[in-house]
Amino acid sequence: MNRMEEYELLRRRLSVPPDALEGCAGRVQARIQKRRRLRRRIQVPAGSIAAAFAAFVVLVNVSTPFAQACATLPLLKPLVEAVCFNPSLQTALEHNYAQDVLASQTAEEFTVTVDAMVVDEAEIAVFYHIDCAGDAYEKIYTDSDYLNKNGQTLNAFLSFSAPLAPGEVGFDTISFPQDVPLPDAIRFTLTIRHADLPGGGRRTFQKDDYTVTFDLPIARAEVAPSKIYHVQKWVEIDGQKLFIDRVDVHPTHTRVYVRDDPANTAWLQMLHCTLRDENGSTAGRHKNGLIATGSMEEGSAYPFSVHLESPYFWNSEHLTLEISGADWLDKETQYTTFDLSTGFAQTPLPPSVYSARAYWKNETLYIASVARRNGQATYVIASTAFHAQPGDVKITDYAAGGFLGSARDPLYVPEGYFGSSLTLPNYPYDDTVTVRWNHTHETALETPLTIPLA
Amino acid sequence: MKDADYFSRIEPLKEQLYRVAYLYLGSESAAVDAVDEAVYRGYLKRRSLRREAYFSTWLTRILINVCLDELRRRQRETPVETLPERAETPYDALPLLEALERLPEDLRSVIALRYFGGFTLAETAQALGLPEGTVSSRQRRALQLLKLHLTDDEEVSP
Repeated sequence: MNRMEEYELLRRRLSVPPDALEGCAGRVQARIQKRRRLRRRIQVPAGSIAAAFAAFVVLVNVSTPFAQACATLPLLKPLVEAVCFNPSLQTALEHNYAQDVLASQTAEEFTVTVDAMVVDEAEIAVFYHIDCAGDAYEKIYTDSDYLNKNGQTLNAFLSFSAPLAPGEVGFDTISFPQDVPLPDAIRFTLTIRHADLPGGGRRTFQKDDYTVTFDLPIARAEVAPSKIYHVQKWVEIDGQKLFIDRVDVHPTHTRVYVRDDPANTAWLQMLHCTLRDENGSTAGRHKNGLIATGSMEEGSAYPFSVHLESPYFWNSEHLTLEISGADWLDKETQYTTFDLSTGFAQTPLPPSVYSARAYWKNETLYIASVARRNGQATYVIASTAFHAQPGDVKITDYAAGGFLGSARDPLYVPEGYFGSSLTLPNYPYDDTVTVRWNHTHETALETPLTIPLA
Repeated sequence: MKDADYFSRIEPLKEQLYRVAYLYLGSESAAVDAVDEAVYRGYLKRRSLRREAYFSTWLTRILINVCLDELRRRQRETPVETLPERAETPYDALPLLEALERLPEDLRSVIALRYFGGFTLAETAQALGLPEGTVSSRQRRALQLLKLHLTDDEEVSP
C-alpha cells in the first residue's frame, strides 16, 4: 500500500465515528449539573466543615472501606487529581491526611482559594485554585512566595505549581532541611502575573492589584509523627565509602541521609535506592517533587539526603533499603574547559557526558551537552560555569534548558539520551569557559546492597 | 450564548473534532474523551467567545489544548520522542498514523486540521493563532516529511 492509499484508508476509517461520540452532549450536560450541585454543597459555614472533617478522621481510623471512599468525596477529589503524578501525596490524601483551609481572597476578577494543606514534620504542600469571573482565561501564570508568620524568609526549599487553568487545583511544596522545625504558621503570597486568552494572546497584570496574601496556621495536633530509622551503617560502592545515617519516613516522602568519607576520591551526587517491604511493595525515587537536598561537599549548609516515595501508609512490618547504584562527581575531573575558538573541550569529557560543545550565537555563549537518560529522569548536565580557573568568579548570569533532539538543536541526541544547555548572555571573555559537571561517572550494582531497617 | 444554542452548535462539529483528536491521541476512546473535555471546557468559557462566527475554530483551539495536556500527561508517564526533522529521518518508513504521531506538534496540528478536520487554510490559521503563511509553510514541510502528495486546495469532505 502506498502513502496515498494509506491516507485514503485513514480518512475513510475516521469518517465513521464511534458510537460513544453520540453521547457527548449528554455526558457534558451531566457533568455541568454535577458541578452546579458541588458548588452549592461547598457553600456551608466553616464550622460545620471542621466538624465534618473531625468525623472523617475518626471514621478513617476505624474503617478501611470508608478510607477508600474518601478519595471519591467531592472536596478531596480535585486535590487527589492534582497530585496524580505524586504517589505519596496522593496516598496521603486518600487516607484523608490533610488540613482543611478553604480560605478565599479576591484580586480584581480573580478569586484565589487555598483549599487545604498536607503537612508533615518535613514538608508542607499547599493546595489552591484560581477562579476568574466569566472564565475569560485559559491558563493563569502566578508567582508564589512563602514566609514565616513574622514576614521572614523560610529556611526551606520551595517548588511551585505549573500554570493552572481556572478552577484547576495546583500545589506548591515547602520542604524543610533536617532538624529545621516546622513553623506554627506560614504566610502565602500569590501574585497573578499573566493569563492566556482564548484564541491566543496573553494579558499581563500589575503586581499590586493582583496579589493576595494568606496567613495559614499549622494545626500541630494534625501533624502525624514521622518514623525515623537510625541505620548508622558504612557501605562501600565502587571504592567509595558512604555512611547511611538514617532514613526518615514522612507521610509525604522519605529521606535517606548519607554522609561520605572525606578520603573518597569522588563526591556522591545521587544514590539510586528504593525501600521495599515484606510484601514486595517498593518506594522509589520521589516523583513530581524534590529528589535530593544538600550536598556532600565541605561547607555545605545541609546534609545530603535522597528523597523517595513514602511507605508511611502501607502498614508494613519490615522495610529494607536497597541500593542499586550511584552517580559521582570525581574531585579531580569535575571541571572541563572549552576553547571558545573551536568550541571543543580541551580535555576528554567525563564518562557520563556523551558530547558537549560551546558556541556563540548573537553574542550569547551556549554550552550544550548530551548525556544518557536514566529512566525518565533528566538533569542539568553542566551545572555551573566559570572563567579560567575553578574558584574564579562564578558566572551567575546564566540559564539552563533542555532539548530532546531536533534539526534546530546544537548536538545530535541518540535514542535514550537527552540534551541540556547553559546559556550565558553576557559572558565577557572570548578565550575559554570552564564548566562543572553534575556528575562525572555512574555506578550500577549488579546485585543491590540491602540494609534492613529496624 | 444560551445553553441550548451552545449544544446545538456542538452537534455538527462533533465528528470534525473527533477526527482531529484522533490524529493527536491515536485511539478512539482517548479521542472521544478529549472531545467530551473540550465541549465541557468550551461550555465553561462560552462567554469569552467574542464572535459566534468563530465558534468552530475557537472550540477546535480548546480541543487542541486538551489533546496537548493529555500528551504531556502521557509523556510524563512514558516519554515518547518526536522524531527530529532531518532529511534522513525515516518518516516514510513508518505507518502513516505513527508517522503523524511522531511529527513535531506544530506540523501535526496543521495536517490534522487541514487534511482530516476539513478546515480551510484561513480557518486553520485562526484555530492555531498563526499567520496563514506560517500555516502554509508548515503544511508543506509536513507533507514533504510524510511523503504525502496533497495539493493546497485539497480538503476533506466532512
